[in-house]
Amino acid sequence: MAKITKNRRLGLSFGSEDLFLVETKEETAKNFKVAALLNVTSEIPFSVDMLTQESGAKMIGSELKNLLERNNITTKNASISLDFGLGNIIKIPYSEKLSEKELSTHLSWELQQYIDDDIAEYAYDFYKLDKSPPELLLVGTRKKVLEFFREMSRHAGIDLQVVTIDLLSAVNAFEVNYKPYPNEKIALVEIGEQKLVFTLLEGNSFIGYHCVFLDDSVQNDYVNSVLELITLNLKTLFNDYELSTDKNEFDRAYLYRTNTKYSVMEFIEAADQELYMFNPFELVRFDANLQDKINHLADNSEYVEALGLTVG
Amino acid sequence: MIDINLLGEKQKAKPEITPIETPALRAKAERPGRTGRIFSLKTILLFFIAVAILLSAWRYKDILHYGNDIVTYVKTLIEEQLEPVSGPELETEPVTEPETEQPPPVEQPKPEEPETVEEPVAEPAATAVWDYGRSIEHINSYTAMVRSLPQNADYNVISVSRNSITAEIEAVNEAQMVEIQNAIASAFPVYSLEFITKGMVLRVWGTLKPGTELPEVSSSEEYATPEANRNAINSLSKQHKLTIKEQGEATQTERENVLLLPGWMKFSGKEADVLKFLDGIKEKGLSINITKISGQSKNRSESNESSELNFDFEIIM
Repeated sequence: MAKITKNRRLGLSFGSEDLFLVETKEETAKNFKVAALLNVTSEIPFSVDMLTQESGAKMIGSELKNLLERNNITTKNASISLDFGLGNIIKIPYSEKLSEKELSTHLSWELQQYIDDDIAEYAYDFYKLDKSPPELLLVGTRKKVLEFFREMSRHAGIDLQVVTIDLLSAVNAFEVNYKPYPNEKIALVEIGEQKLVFTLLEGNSFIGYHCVFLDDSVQNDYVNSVLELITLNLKTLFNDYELSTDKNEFDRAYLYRTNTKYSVMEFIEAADQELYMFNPFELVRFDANLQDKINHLADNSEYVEALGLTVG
Repeated sequence: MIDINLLGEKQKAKPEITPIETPALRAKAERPGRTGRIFSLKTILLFFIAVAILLSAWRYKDILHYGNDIVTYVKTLIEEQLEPVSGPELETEPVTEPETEQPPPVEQPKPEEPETVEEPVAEPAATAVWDYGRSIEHINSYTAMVRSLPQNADYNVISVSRNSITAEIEAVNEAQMVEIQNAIASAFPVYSLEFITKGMVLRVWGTLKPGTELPEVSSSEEYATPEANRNAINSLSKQHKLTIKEQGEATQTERENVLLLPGWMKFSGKEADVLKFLDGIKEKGLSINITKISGQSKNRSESNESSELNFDFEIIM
């Protein structure tokens, strides 16, 4: 069950051109309600290039501050998700006999295998997956990326408490909203501006992820071209991960978007196979002031990552 | 919930197991004024009862001993009475006891053994098995990618690690970019390649095909200790003109029930020399695992077709 540890929390997910924001309130999972939703096409869109600009954090922070003020959002506790490309996500086995210090040394060494810079330049965190033999998720990012978001938060007047990776936020949003059987094979498919991200789950447990970058060739017939890539990759991934000997496809595949051009519904309608829309508000309730303003049947999947940031 | 916070401002622990929410639990959680108490009244009462029983037992131990003696005497008496009498055996029909379903034995939780500080083990129980096939496959993948590139294409990073390969390649113009894409896609043995064409930089990400069928190598007893293994690798690297760039003392660690030996090394060398070095390792039965091979075009040799290809690689022993 999801636990909301603070009275109010902000989840901020930066798309390539848009900012998706979810504000939640109340204390327990039972009373977990969405208080505000914002989908803003930023005047100064966040990009990776900004990380190296001195003024980048200030520009985005000031814009965010104005945005919050305009929408009367006073919540300070905020979580931010990074594009997975800004981090390293590694699933590795580990020994439960390792002490904290030994595990730390081991993880530093593991992360070093995936990066080409000094490990001192990186921050990392890990999460022990409930699996046997024991496995953990090791996630790392450059410290300068975190510095950027700290600086941005300072200018925005928010209290940055959590920084995580977007696809992991999506997994948390899925856990809140869907109750699959433990052995069900699930794929979450993010349709972004320039990429497709496949996150693979068994029940609610993370198995792995895969990214496919979209080139210009898909632009002519975006929906069908992307759909073709989704279908192809779902098949390949199912076989590559050897998920089952009895069948050859995922039990369910959920689509969500981090672009604002194409609705997930367009892909679902055009697909030959059964695909589902990842509704971040499937089981989540809205605050009274928001209840009537939201179209519950519409594609709200762009809020998946932002909602996932406010739980856990 | 996947609990990852890169700001690192939390205590990390084992995954939290959230109890299933029941009315009783909910009521307990919501009961005011219950926080902060370590022992409940019931626990304290039970503690006092236990202490009283122990004190009584101590005071009346003589009586207990006497009681014990009586029990022993009675048991002996019964056993004597039941001893079989020698003589002709009477044919009696075996009495079959009605089968009663025995309840399954209740497994008692084993008491946790106190943690003891283990002395460093001189000789490991099992050594990491060197994946010769994977190491050769890494080198082949690396060289295949480099060789597929046009001579004037600069690559910042080409890195083969575990089952993935990454590269960033700069092209001088769009025509060359297409040329590079086609060359890599046709020459490089990967499942998939993705390209980001922004800024004339190609980022290639791929997954290696599963290891080719190559002979398995078993480790030699002669080099079973970390020291002997390391010395032999040092000696081989000198013999094959490899340069040790860095080496570290990693802590002994266990992964998938395999004890990994301390030590890692970063070498730099030419492709031909590295392959000879690997042959030497195979012949001697040394234990290593190549974890990463990477290089930059500034280390590249003039002839793309020859085996004069410089690169760095790391091993773990």
